[in-house]
Amino acid sequence: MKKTGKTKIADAHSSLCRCIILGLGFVLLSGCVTATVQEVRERATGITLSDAVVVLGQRSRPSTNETEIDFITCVADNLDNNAIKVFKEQEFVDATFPWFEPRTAPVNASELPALLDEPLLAQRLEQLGLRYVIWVQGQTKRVSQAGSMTCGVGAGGGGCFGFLTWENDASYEATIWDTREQRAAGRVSSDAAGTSYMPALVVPIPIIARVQNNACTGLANQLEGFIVN
Amino acid sequence: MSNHLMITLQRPAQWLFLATCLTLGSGCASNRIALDTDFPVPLVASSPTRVAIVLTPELQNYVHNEKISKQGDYSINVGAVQKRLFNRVAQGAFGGHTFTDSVAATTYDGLLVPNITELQFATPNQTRTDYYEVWMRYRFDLYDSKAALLGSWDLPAYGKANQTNYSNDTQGLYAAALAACRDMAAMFSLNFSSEQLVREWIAATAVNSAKDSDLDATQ
Repeated sequence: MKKTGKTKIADAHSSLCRCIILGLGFVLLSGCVTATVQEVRERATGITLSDAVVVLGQRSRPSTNETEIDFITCVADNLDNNAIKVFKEQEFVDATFPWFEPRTAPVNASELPALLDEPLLAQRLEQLGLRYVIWVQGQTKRVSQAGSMTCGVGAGGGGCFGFLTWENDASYEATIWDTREQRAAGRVSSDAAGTSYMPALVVPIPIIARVQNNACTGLANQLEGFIVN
Repeated sequence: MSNHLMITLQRPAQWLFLATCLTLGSGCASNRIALDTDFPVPLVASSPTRVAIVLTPELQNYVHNEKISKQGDYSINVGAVQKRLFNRVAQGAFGGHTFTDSVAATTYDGLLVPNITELQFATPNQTRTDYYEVWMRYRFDLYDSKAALLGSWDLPAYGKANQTNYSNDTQGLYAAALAACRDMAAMFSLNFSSEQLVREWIAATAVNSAKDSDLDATQ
């Protein structure tokens, strides 16, 4: 069935309205987040168009707080742009197997020169154009929660009543290793905290503080500035 | 209300729905994990030796079954990927390889028989940590080209997966089992040549090759 011009315009208006309402709803229903980003520079950095970086989660043993995979992906996606080429974590770990597995990956920058002495690995890193390895460690944790909510279903329908609140705290640190200099170039840390609410009067309305997302974008932006210098 | 419930439950589809809810709600779900993936070729200096890798039916059909009270039945199939795993390992670690299913004299430098002797796993519910964990113990038997046993060595492998990255036990244990297989591949490819037994075998193979070349030259 063909749509007339008027119908198309009406559809476009309707989609736009829905987007605006969704967007406003999203903004209004987001909780507040406080974020802090800091950096410590140990040496000068820089990057050319042929250079690449990789963002890796610190998974060496006996680590008890592994960074979430979606956080690593989020930082890599936010960092990847026209100025910086970023390898996907799994792609890189597979390309350099078995040197970046949990039991074999270097733990300190001081182990980097020995690792880069491995001829096949050095050759592969050269082919990939890898300049910086960014190790991320940290987690987002729920530090407190309070309130209660009761939901019920009856013959006439159902609904919830109550109020829930919880506080999330995100704390991450990225260490940047320069493979050309075979040393650590510096560290960037990103901390964020925020409280989410969920009041319910028949229908629960979640007001979520996007703590992890804030920590991710803060870290990625600071890393970009740090690397591009 | 009760009349309404009676009428509702007379429909077969809703009985089925109720039964499913009760099964899932009881927390005794069945978790079937079957690894199905490929592995990277190790980036290591390959040994000059050529081996015939014996893939036994026990290895290729290895499935660990365990029932955990209040959690359900677990079945972890790691056997189905062993051929792919050893193919990739051998592509990086050896000068040449082939697969066979029994120990017998070969034209290759020797025979390598991998076996899984043990597999254990743990879920976050059991350990009160954030991790799914899988431990595996491999045993490697090394035979010379005339099928005489030279010796054996064990290789423990470990994999873990953070529960925050996975939505259920099946996904978490899949990731942990995969990590354990990769761990074995990594440790095997990096340490194979430094095993005492293997060093002696490689040296003997080199001597035999040199003798064969000399013999060919005098003829």
